[in-house]
Formats: sequence, C-alpha cells, structure tokens
Amino acid sequence: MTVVNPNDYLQKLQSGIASGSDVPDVILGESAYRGKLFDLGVLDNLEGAPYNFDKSSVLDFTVPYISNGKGEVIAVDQAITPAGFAYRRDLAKQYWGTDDPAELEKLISSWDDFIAKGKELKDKSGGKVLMMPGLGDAFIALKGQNFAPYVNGTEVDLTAKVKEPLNKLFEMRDAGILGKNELWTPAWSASMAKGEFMFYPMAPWGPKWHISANDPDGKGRWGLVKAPEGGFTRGGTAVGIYKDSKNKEAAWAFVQYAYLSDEGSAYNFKTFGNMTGSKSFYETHKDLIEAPGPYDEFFGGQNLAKYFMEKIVPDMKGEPQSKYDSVVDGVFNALYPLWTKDTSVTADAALQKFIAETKNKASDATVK
Amino acid sequence: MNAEQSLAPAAATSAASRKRRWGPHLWPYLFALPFVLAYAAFQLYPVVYSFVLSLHDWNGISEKTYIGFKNYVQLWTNDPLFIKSLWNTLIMMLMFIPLTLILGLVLAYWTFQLTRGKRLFQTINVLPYITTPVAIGFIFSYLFDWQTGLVNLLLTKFGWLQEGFYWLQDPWGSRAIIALMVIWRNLGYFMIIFMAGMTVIPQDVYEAAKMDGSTGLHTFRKITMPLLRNITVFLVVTSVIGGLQLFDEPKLLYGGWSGSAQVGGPDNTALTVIWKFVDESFISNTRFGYASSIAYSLFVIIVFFSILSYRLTAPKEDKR
Repeated sequence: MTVVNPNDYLQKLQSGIASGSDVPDVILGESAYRGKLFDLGVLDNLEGAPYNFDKSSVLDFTVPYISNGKGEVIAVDQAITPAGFAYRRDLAKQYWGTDDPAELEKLISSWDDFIAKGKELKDKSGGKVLMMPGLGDAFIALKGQNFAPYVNGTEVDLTAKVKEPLNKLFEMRDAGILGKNELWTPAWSASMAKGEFMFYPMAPWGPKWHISANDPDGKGRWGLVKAPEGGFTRGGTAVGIYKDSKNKEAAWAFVQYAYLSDEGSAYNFKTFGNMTGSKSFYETHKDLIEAPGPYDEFFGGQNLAKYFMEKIVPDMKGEPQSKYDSVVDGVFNALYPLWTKDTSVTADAALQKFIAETKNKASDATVK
Repeated sequence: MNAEQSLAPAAATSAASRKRRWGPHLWPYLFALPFVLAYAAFQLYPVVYSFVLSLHDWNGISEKTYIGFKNYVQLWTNDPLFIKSLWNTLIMMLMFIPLTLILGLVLAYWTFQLTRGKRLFQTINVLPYITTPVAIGFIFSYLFDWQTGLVNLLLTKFGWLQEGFYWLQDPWGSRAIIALMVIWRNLGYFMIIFMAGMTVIPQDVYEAAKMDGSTGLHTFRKITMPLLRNITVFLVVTSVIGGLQLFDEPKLLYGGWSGSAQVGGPDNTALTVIWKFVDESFISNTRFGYASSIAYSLFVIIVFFSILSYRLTAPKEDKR
C-alpha cells in the first residue's frame, strides 16, 4: 500500500498508469481534479456489467457530478456536498439580534440583501467583523450557484460562467464587506476561532474537517443557513473503478457497500457526518436524519442533515464536469489575491484577464 | 553484477593464456559496467525517451500521437507563459547569484579569520542549507503574510508603513522574497565551499605578501580573490544550472503545503520554467509531450548558459 497526499494523487495515478505499474482498483476523484480524471478515460462505466448501477437510485442533482462527457456514470459520490453558509451565532445575535437560521434566511434571501446586511455589520462592528474572510470564499458560492454548463468540446464559454459571479463579487469587494484572506492560509483558518467573519461556505463535510477543526472550542457558537438565492456544491470526492482492474467485482462490492448501501451509509453518517447520495437511505433511515448528528451539538443543536436535505438540496442542480474546471479554478486562485490587493481593477477588466489567463493555460481550447 | 557472476565459472575453467588474453582487457569494462548500466537505465534512457515524447501528443494514458516539432513551435512562438517563466527565472537568478557569491565570500573570509567560535558559526550558517524546503516555504510565507506576517507587524508597529504591504502578491515583492529564500538557503553552502578554497591557499603566499607590505583589503583583493577563481567558477556554473531549475522555493512559498496552491504567484511573476513544466504535466494540464518539450528546451538553455557563464568567469588560459 502507498499513502499519497491528496494534492499528489492524480499525478501519482497518471505516472502509475503511464509506467504500467500497479494501479488501485478503486480510484478517488476529488472535486479539484475530478473533471480531469473523468477526461482521462481510466474509469469503468458503472452502468454496464458487472456493476449495473442504476443512476435513478441516487439524488438527481448528483448525476452530472459522477458522469463523464459521454453521459456515462463512471463514479459514485463518497458523500453529497450541497453547501450553505456556516455562521457565527454569537456574532449574528450581537449585531443582528437573532441567531435563528429561519430568521437569517430572510435577512439574506438575496445577494443584494446580503450586501446591505454586510454594510450594516461592518458599520455596527466598527469594521471589526465582516461578512466573509475573502474573495475566494464568496466566489465559491457565487460561481457554484451558476450551474449552467460552460464547456462544449473545446469551447469554453467563461463569460457565461463567471461574468455575473464576478460582478457580484466586485460589488461585495467594493462595499468592503469581504476580508483580505486567501483560502486555506493560516490566517484564514485562524479567523474562524477569532470571530472576525460571519459566514463560511460549508458542505456536510465542513463541520468536522473545517469548522470544528479550526475552532475546537467553538461548540455551540456555529449555525448553518442556506446561501442567498440557493445552494451550490463545495468539494466532494467521486469514487470510481479502474477500467483494467482485475478485481472489479470486489471493488464494486466495497464501493457499493461503503457509499450506497443503507448500512454503509449509516456508518458513514454516524461517524463522519457524511451524507450518501443514495435515495433509499433517506427513506429507510429517517430516524437517523431526525436524530442528532455527530456535529449537531457543535452547531447549537441545529439538525444539520435535516437542514441540508430540506432547505438546500431541493434547489440544487448538477454541473457537468470538464477537464477545464481545474484550469479555471487554478486561474481564479492565481488572480483573486491581486483583485483583493488592487481595488482599482474593475469586474470587466477582471473578466478579460480571467479569459486571457485561461487561454494561456488551456491552449487547445477556444475561450470566450 | 550479472556479467561478473557469469564470468566467474568461465574464468575458472579456461586456460591461463586465455585468462591473460581476456583478463586485463576486460577488467576496466567490467568495473565500469555497473555505472554504465545504471546510467543507461536511469539517465540515458529517460533522456532519449523524453525527447521522443516531446515529439508526441500524449496525456500519459491514451495512445501517443506523433506530431513532429509542433510542441516546440507552439512553445517558442505561441506560449506567452513559457517566455514569461524563462524571463522570471533569469531575473530571479540575477537577483540571487551575484548576491550569494559576494555575501558567501565575505562571510567565508570573515569566518576563516575567526579564532574562537569558528565551528559554531559555520554550523549556524549551514543550517538553512540542510533545512527541508517545505519548512522554508512555511517560514517565509508566515514571515511575509499580508495580514499576520511578522515583517508587516514590525513595519507597522514602528510606523514605517500605515498598512501592511502585500509582499506575496506584488510582482517584484514575490521575486525578491524568492531570491531571499534562495540566498538564505545557499549562503552557508557557498561559505563552506569558499572556506575550503581558502584552506588550500598556501600560507607562504600570504607570508610573502606580508613581507612585501600588503595588508587587509589589499591582500584579500590581490591574493585571496584571484586564488579562489576556480572555486568561484565552480559556484557560478553550478548555481546557474541550479538557478535555471528553480522550483522548490516559489512552489512552496505559494502554498505547496496547503490545499489551494496558487500556480505562478501573482500574475505569474513567480512562475519558473520548471514550475511551468510541472503545471503542464500535472496541475493545469496532462500534456506529457508538451511538458517534455519544455524540459528539452530548458536542457538546451542550461547548456547555453553553462558555457556562457564558464566563458565569462574562467581564467583566460582555461577558456579553450
């Protein structure tokens, strides 16, 4: 067995396949490189024998996330990743007078409301508390809410995908309601415990890996609310089977049990708070969803799974995966710190820069 | 190894004259064989293979498509990022090579004269060189963080700056920090090599100079520096080769240790040739053929700059 850092996973896998050495039977596709992995054509079509996976057995919105460009289902979700905002209950109570998710939903039902509330928060706190840690966090939600496919073969319609999100992002930046942190930096992680920011985009894996990990003493001071104007996805890992695997049946038995069966899903849910994509789990294990989940207490007793399923999942749509996704994300990651720093850059100029940089990185594509 | 083993029984059974005929001729080849085999398998073959690869379009998994020199044409005529990465690399080399040389020499000269604490001083200076690059990445990105970095905290505390400077997102700031990382890491190594050079300079040369009335700076300029020329040539040529392969420092400074790694730094001003190569093969794209053409282009560039730096620094009589 080889233990591989997630950042190196695809690289190791490619080298393994290219050199003809051992390749795992079960292959993981993190959201960061899922489109690229799917495009390599190394995963078996799960709708065929010996798997005979029925895609109607999983939540409809997840199907595009587990399908390749030909529309074949080539993976299953390790857990679904519909996302909303984690928020600081103490700050919401202090500045807005309520920490009730239902009340907050009304306060930030649209992005315009969100910006208005953000200005209010900034004024009331004397600039000490802002809405989000940085442009990166806000963009995860804004871009994620735009589910429209933007890739057609080698045509990449970036304008359709990011123009509106960028406009809103720059409106927020100019309103001064976003911090200056970059995602995943030490300062960004530390901000959760410090209470400098109200909201953090969060999917069901977030309570364990993201919020409680960075704010270990924050029991009870967090809440979950849906984002303005709907849900989006954050992260997620697809699990597929290598097309030349010699143990396809065994691999599938594992994948099926761990991520799709009611029993495996229940274990995953109770242990990690991971929510399966399998529809039947939510029928047979209603009791588990109703019962307190492992991180509900951390979130002030709010039933997180129920909130995700009832308030966020119904609005979710799927987004087809493309090998250009990681290029687009990489370009954004390289650019947003500059837009944070240089506030004279306009949304239009940013879009043009975004397109130019994407062209540089995806030379085989036509980017507009 | 195999050849040696198979030879042993044969040698035992053969006649003494045959032994004499084969033996002396064969031994050098036999002794060289392990290296030659290892070199062929781990150096020569990959070098040739990556050239073959650079003439193909290949993502590592699908069939290879032969496309001639198209990769090279694309790289040199239609890839602004490659040209930029080459430019960045050269700029950063210009920033750190001369400075490391001068500081290394001064430090070595000063340490060499020390009578007490020499060992301690040497050890302290070499520590950065043996520190893991990941730790160096951590240290510098903490130091120069915009919001919480120590450097900005000090600058604002003493009132030199109103608001912290965004070091890592400034085109020249990013390059300067990378140069600083390289200098910080290599200074101890340069110092040790220079000191080794100073040790072999015969003391009687210094004594003769002293007799002739040369002291201090004059001795340093007229005796020490010229006699360290070969050492300097070695350091320049090796650091030009190493500099063109610059990768660890920029990659680790821009979150090589965290989840969301930023490729190339702000507006790609910290993108080096090797980083571009890694990005094309594993991060943004999976174009192994194209990445090989970058590797080959860099190889040619390295050969060119090695010869150039040797010609510029080597003593006249050695230049042929």
